[in-house]
Amino acid sequence: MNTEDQLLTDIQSGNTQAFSQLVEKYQDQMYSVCLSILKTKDEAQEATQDTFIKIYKSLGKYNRQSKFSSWAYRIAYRTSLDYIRKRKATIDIDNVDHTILSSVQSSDRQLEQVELSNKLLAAIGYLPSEEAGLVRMFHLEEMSIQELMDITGLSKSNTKVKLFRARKKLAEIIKTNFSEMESYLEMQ
Amino acid sequence: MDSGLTRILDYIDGNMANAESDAFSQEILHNKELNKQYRYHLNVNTALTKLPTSKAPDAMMDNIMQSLTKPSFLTAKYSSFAGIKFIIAGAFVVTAILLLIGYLFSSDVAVAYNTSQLTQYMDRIIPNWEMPTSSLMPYAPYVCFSLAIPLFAVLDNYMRSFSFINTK
Repeated sequence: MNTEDQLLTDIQSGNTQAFSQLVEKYQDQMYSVCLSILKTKDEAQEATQDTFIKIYKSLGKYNRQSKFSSWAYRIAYRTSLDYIRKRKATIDIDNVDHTILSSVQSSDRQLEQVELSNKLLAAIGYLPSEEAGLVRMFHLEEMSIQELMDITGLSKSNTKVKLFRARKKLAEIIKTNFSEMESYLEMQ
Repeated sequence: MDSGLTRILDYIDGNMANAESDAFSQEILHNKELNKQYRYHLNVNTALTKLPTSKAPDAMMDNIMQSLTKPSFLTAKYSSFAGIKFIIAGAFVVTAILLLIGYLFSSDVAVAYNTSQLTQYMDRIIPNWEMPTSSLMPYAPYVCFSLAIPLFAVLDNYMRSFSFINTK
């Protein structure tokens, strides 16, 4: 039994301390996905909190044969999409503060890399919610199409098409809105 | 789909068969424009893979742990179905109470004086108090049933917070 399995067993036996360790381990990843989809920090925080509460309450339904992170991402992804559906006033994508996603902080990285990351996150902010989530998850964990299918519940062809469109759009967004970054990426 | 970009992304993701991949490698070497596009998408892909996670707010952990330690009936966001469940339960209780009050004050109720200990005790507290014991008995199961519904609803909601136990 590996460390994560032990942690999940402890949680299922009612150890809340073990659950706090699990939250500590995954909160940044889940928050990143929720933030990419929802694009506002407050909503992303709420959705992430809901995600962890759902994880805690439905841990008994988790099949240990599958990857825990994929199962957790699926809950985060669906919870975020539920938040979008429940929004009373739809946020106009053009009015979203795209810099809100670019909150990368690093002291030991070179400024150039941090700036690139911030601009890239801002560019992801221009993508529609679902596509932004797909791109973020695909690259964050270097997920396979099969894992994305499990998370989104879409068919293989649908997942591939959506991911392709999202990546194509992102490249276009970089070319249109982030010409400096485009030149930088071309020169690398 | 854009076949040029599809091929570039498939090549980057390693989704091409060996022969196709080798042919594409040669094509990149000899086609300057394709090479430029490939390098651009490779760099975008690499940069995306290197993207760090966004830091979750500090308060998040406390909020999550607090939500889990509070009794669920205080923290649960009731779905519309659960809301209806409580409205129905509430309606049962109100109906039961109204029936009881109506019955007690009804002039048709036959007063059956009982010399049980409770009656004697009530007599000392409230002089001239009358207990229509026998006439109320047929209504007792309905009243108990109505009162049990909200009790079960609250219990059910409370137990949901521990639903992960033995549900596999």
